[in-house]
Amino acid sequence: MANATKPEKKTLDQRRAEHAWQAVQAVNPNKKDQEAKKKFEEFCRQAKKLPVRIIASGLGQALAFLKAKNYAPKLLVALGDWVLDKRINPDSKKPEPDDMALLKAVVEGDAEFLRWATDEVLAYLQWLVRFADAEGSEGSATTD
Amino acid sequence: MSDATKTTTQGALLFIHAQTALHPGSGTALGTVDLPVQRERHTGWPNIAGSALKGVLRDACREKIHQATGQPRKVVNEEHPDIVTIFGPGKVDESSAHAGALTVSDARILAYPVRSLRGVFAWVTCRGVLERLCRDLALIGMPLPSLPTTWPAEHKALVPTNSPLMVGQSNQATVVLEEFDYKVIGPSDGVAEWLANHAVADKFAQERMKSHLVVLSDDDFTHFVRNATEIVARIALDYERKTVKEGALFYQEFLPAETLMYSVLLANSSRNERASMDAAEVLGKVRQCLEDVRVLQIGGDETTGKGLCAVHVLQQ
Repeated sequence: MANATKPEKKTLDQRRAEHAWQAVQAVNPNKKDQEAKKKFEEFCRQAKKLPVRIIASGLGQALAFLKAKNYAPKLLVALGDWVLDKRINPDSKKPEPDDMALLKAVVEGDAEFLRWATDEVLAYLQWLVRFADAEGSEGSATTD
Repeated sequence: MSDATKTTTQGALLFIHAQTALHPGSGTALGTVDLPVQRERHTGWPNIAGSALKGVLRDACREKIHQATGQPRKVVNEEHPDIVTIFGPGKVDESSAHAGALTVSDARILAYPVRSLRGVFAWVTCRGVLERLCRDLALIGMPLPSLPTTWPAEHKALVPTNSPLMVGQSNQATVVLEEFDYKVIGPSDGVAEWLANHAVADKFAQERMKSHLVVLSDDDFTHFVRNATEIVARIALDYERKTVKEGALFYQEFLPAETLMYSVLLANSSRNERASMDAAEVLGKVRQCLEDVRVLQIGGDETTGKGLCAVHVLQQ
């Protein structure tokens, strides 16, 4: 579409990709800031491990584990912002929720919400993990 | 199937009951796991490609003839009239000479094992799966199982009478599968009996099937077959450091042991000019071979014990 003047309405998967890209960019540090670089690497590592944890133990358990360890609060924030707001309201200008928002929604929601949120988080993470990799994650197999 | 076709073909169902975890792989992927299992595009339900299954059947028949005659496997594969007639030519340069006489469909999911709060695990199935089974049974001219008159909505389940899976009193009974509660709204005895008597071969599985077969809504079933698979982390160790080699971590998906699938087998008469064989004979030879071997290795990771499946043929 070389001569496109107005972008077409995005598919759901394009919107996931856009949000995930912005989420990764938001934690991607200035190259000189060693502390921020460490945090970013941890963000990428945890993102990479999260899908398998969700499949093995369920969404609630996987999120609770991340919260308890406090490894990557920004990852929880990005997931909450997407699943609870931007996924449903593409034009929303609401600020990001805190890192407990999605976990709270899972605990308080019904089984149908849990199933829907699980599918949505797994689909969203496919993009986020890919972008995290692209932005220089080592993805090494460290233990927790 | 037209009447003309009906008279010249013979059909059967090949039931595949996983005894160990099963990896019918789809190659590398960009998803959650590095090595996912094959799935139907339109349902997301796991399947096994007919081509993979046909290869396994050919190998089983070839091995049986090799054992019986002592002929080299390669010779059996390329020259034995039974193998060439039933499965097609074994030599690449003869591949267009004629088609094989046996048609092997993709294997479809029939019942999927899910962790249960009581009774260890349940096999779950759903309306979509059972109606498809009936369609496939009709294709090969077999009588159909009696399906439930009322199908469960979401969060509801049909469970065999007095099933050890149930939690609570009979009118308030639930089953708890993984972390989900399902209210029991009726019995699934008819389907459970049919599967026990037709789809599984060993008596332990038959007994368990009668009391552990749960019918869920299509959506609930879909959630389990998409998300309740086994994900295994595979690594390689560095000899010197005894820690994981850099970059040697990948995740692989398996269908759990006890997964039950089936494939439709359709036999035609021989298309090989050099050997005459009618459809009944074609299917008879394949069936005899499967009854002799009973267990086939299907899918990847044979050397780590994966993919051992009890097979069982159901025919008119």
